[in-house]
Amino acid sequence: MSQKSTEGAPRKKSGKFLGLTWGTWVALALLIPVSVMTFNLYRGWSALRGQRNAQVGTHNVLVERNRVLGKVFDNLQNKQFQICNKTADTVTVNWLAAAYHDGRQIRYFDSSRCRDWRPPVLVPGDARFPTLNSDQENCNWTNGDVVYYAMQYTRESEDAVNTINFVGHFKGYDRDCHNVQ
Amino acid sequence: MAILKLHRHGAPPLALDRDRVLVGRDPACDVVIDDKSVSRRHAAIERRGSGFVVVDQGSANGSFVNGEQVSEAALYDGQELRLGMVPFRVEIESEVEGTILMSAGDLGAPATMMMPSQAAAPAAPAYAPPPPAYAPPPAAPPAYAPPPAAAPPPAYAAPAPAYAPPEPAQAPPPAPASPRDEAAALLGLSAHASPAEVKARLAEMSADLEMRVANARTPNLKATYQKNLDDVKRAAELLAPGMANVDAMDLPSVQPTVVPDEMDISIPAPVRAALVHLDESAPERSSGLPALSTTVLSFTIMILVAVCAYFSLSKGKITKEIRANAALPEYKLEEDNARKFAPMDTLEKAGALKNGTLKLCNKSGQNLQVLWLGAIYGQPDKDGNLQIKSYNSQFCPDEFKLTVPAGGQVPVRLQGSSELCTWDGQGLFASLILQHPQNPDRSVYVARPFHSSDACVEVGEGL
Repeated sequence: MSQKSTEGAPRKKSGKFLGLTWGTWVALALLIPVSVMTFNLYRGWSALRGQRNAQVGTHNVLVERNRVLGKVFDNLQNKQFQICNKTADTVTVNWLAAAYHDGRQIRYFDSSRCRDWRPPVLVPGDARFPTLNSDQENCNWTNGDVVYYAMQYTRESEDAVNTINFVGHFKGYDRDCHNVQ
Repeated sequence: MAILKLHRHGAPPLALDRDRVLVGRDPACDVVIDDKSVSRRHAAIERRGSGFVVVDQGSANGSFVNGEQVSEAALYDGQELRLGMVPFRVEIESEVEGTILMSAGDLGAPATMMMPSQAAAPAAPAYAPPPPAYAPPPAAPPAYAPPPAAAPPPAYAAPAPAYAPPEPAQAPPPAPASPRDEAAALLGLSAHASPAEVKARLAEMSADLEMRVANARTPNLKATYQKNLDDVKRAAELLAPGMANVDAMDLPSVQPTVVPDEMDISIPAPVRAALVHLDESAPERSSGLPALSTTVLSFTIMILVAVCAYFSLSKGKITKEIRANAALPEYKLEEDNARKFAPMDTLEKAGALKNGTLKLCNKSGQNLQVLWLGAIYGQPDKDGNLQIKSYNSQFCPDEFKLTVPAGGQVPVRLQGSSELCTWDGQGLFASLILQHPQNPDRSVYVARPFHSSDACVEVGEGL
């Protein structure tokens, strides 16, 4: 009988290497780069997802934070203090004290304790940024920033001298200047 | 006369007792097979001599014998004949016990049966069989057709063709003169053969016939082979007395050699082919699927590739989302506000927005009178937002009176008649003007932030 038919014949002998078929070796060889690629893609994906979550989270925090700070910002700032004399009288600032933030902490300035302090005298219409450059402790108030301040000034009119004590906080954008009026 | 039967699974066998039978789907055929794979006139099965031949009639799907497509092929008992997609098992059955007429050279080849009745029977109407190759004498035992006297028996390894149609023109051999000659002719030896030659020949033929008896598919065939075996033994006994008692089991070739090809010819051809090729060096039988490890690894790779695709697509989507968010006006607004409110944030983190409790501590040895007190304090409004407010004692000249005793600690708590003159001492920044104890015309100025603290605001130092 002729046996040329291959139907049902045993498969061609497949080779093995180190006990594994070549198909397994090929699959293993493919598995390594695919695994590395998967890991790298996962890292990138994970980082991006973290970035997106952080973005959303940061935004939510900012919204809440800005809501609170916005209210504070409306009536409190840390800015350079200016005195404007809007009166027809001469104004002399006898004493000025301020609490301010120097970028690291809250500090205070008390002119009564600074020997270098010279009370500013403002003629009518004058404006002044009071500062003090001193090597004395708590007296080196060079930027003139103010958050809270207190002052005593005298307003000398022709018929009277009025002494006024004032305490307040700096309202930046609606009070660029502490108006004496 | 031999009858060819075609067995089909699930159908009664088709007995073909005519000299030519046309098989096909056409109702005009002798045997009608109602199957679309069978052509209208698919094949003819013809009796030729003592055998049968299938002749394809140009069918569309072909005729197959044991899986091989044929245009014309002899049919033997046990073969598989397939017409189109319809398989049959071939059975050739002799109705009358016949004599197997075989030459020495035919050993190992499929037997060609010559039926004595066929030779004696009148010619069939449709087909005239060729004259028999050998007509045995009526009284003589069944004869074994010897090879031509001049030629020695051919080598056993040279099988005869699968089908050798008888040669009608061949003249029958001369009849043997005596029983000894007949016996010699049966064994294919000369009448003067030596006992050793007879013994060897007997062993050879016995082995072959024993195997045929063992593998015969039908009882008739088995009986025929057994009869032939007995004849051979009798012939050997006649030529060399005592030879027939030889223990056939001593002969190496007596053991039936079961060749897979002949073991069971009903086994489908592909299976037989696989069995024939199976040897020790053959690889492990495979189910046709890849190895489990390969499958698992491939599956893992596919999963990883799918995961990669997900990560890649997802990355693109997330990147777009991040860019879109960053471009949203509300995001930009909040970022701008955050930059603007950064100093407030700094102040809050520094505690400048958290009230402390004002407590005046007199560090002098004398009572100190507070002439003026100003304070900044935070107060949440009904919405919880911090409002910065101030207290100024100058607005309450008649109600404000505060003296800090020498060395004493005084928590400041001012209760006035109006909200303007009322302060609970909780605040952020305090400023005071004290009367100098020794010089009433002089004032002492003090200013301190006291946020987030219950510590003393010290007054009177150095006085």
